[in-house]
Amino acid sequence: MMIEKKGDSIILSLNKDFYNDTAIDSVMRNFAEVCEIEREDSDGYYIVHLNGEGAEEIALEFANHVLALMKVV
Amino acid sequence: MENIKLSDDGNYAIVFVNPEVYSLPTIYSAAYVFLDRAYIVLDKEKERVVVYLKPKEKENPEKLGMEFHNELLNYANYSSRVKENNEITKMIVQRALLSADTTLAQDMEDKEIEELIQELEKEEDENVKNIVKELKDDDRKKGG
Repeated sequence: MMIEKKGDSIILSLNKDFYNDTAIDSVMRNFAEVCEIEREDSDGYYIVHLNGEGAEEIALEFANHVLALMKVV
Repeated sequence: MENIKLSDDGNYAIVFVNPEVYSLPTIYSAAYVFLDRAYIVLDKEKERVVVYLKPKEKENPEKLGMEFHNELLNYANYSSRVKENNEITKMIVQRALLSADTTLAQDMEDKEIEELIQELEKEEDENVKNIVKELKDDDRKKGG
């Protein structure tokens, strides 16, 4: 899966062909209270760093929320 | 199945989708159906769309992958039906909009009333003619 664990941090890679930054930023704002989240642009991917307790499950939920928003944005 | 694989740890299914067979909106639509049952991440690999499906509850990931494939087929069929019926749908909507247009409806009503008046006038003329004819006939009988 496009989720990688690095120490306490979880790295989620979202392909730019299927996800857009507007949806990602919107979900980042919604998840800001539960987790520390940062986004960076890489070649063909949006790399989302999630830090905090339960970050792995939050990353999976994060990906689902972005996908759900793709229908709207 | 060739298009469905299990991850090494067996925790999630990897579904390979040919984008020439299933369009991106079809893939999104199928994915939305599974949002409450699985964690989904989309990716691309060698011109194929890769769908990672991790069940939220204790569910067989492979079965989930197969169900996802069925859903793809379902939405592909739905979108082709929508395309086929597009013209008919357009016609129905146009007709509905026309009937909702009050000015057009008013024009139609005015025309109908005008036709009725003309018909009545015609009938009235014929009645008057008949009465005149009857009176003339009576006069002739009396005079004769």
